Amino acid sequence: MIKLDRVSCEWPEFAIRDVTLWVNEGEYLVIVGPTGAGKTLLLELLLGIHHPDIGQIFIDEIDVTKLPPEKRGIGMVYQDYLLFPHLDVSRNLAFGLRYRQCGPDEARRRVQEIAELLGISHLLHRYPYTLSGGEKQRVAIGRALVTEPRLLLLDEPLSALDRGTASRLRNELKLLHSTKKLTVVHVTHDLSEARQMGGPIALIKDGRLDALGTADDLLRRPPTVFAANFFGAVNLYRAEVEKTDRGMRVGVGPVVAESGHMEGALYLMIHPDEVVLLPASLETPNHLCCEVIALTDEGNYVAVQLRVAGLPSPLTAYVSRHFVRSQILELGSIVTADVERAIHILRG
Amino acid sequence: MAVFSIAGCLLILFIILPILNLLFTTEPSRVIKTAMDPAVRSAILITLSAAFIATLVSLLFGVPLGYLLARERFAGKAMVEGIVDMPVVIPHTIAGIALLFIFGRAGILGAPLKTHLDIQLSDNYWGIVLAMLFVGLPFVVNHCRDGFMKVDPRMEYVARSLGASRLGAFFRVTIPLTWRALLSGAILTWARAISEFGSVAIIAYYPKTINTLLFEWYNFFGYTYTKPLATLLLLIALAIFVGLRAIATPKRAEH
Repeated sequence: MIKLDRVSCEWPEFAIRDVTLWVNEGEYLVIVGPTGAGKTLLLELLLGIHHPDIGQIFIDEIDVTKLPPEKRGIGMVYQDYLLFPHLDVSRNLAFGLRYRQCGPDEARRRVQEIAELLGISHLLHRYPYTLSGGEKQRVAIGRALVTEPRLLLLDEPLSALDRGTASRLRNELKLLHSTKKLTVVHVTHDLSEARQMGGPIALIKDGRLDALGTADDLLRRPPTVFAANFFGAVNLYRAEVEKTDRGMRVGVGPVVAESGHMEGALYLMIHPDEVVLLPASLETPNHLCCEVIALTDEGNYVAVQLRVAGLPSPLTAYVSRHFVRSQILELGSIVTADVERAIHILRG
Repeated sequence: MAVFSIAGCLLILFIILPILNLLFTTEPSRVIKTAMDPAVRSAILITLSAAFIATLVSLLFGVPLGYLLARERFAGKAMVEGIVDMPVVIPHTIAGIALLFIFGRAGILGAPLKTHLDIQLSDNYWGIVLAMLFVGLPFVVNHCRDGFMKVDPRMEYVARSLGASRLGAFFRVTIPLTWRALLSGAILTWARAISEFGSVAIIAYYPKTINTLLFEWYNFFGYTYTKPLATLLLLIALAIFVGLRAIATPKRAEH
């Protein structure tokens, strides 16, 4: 297990602040965050290129905070491949084997093995400048894997590739992870890439760990407004908080929810795909009388914008095309939106 | 663009005309005869070998400094870069006098070195090396720094993640990617060193370098007598310069 324990590192341009994070053996952790959030710095702290100002880094419960990269056994693959241009593919792949007490025959066998696994056997005698982006990235991944690192760090490994190549390589990475039981930390700014890798996702904001969870957790129940916005939430409202006998009553206009002991500014998020549209009926809490003000066909669903008295901005609901046709939804239609099961409370 | 082309052509002519004139108006037999003169041969040997040693020393100290300037952030870095460039802007006669105050027989370092270790760094061959080193150092340091800056430091990070130590990454990745820049810097340092006269004449007039000899012959015997020696020196410098440039120029895309 790899663990960062309250790690901080301040640089003039980037920072990591009080991050505690662990990656279990065989886990595929994806780190996302806006540009400049400190994602790459976090990887380079794990790698040992930079050392934290405060905090400790453990690998298998051994403190490696002060260890240099060459003693950590961690592989690194950057977005722009960084193949050694003066070495051909086979010597790029074999670069790390010299430091692993690997004889020439064993080195050749391992290079051949990894080249076959990644489908680059035919490139072994080519120089990096003759390779395509996808081929370069396969070589970079192979170069890191051939030394059998206990952790593989991937810094935006697919973002310099065209969509087709990126998609193929993404599937190959998933396959490699499962077949070789790799422990991987993968940094990306691409949310669909993060979701497709299938592992836990950590969201970094201004150097701090803002949210950590599965893709479903972060999409359905983001803990903060930043996480909600980052994962593309719609229907996000600043809530009024009122103390009641049963706890806190959190509400915005006609939408209300009960909360435990959350402190600070609170927000309400209403999941657009869990809003149920009903024929117009009596308005009760969380059954909102609304007017359809826009219908947008998004391909697989229709986004219905609804004006609701008391809500500061229109409410969006996702419905099927069939629903729009069968309920004869059109601009100006009056409907009731049941949001009871669509509400999620989150911190500011 | 026509005006620019004319300006460019005039500049090229300004460089090439005196060189071609010297090369093609000197009788080859006189150049050969001059080359056979023992005083000339000794001066050529002293000049080339002292320039070579000065270049090696400047590489030995300039490569680490160039690497630090390319990779590290530290207080006073701009000042260090300014100091490195100083020998380029200081008139070389002044450089010679300044060096004499430090390394001369009565100099701050020269005197104790002579007294305690019997090492003399002026009025001899090592004085010439010292003067050449002083004027040539900026070229090596600046070329090394620029060369190292072109290598992405993350390339070294990757090498280190694969098991190379910092020094291992430097020698297995950075040096193979920058050796042409280092060689270019060395060529310029060497070229600057063999052409140095002002500071050399002050710190070590004897033994005579080719420039000292040329200056002396010109003063005593005049232009015509000196011309074959000047041509000989020009030929040697051009041959070595062209040869090394050919090695230092990349022959195919490497990145």
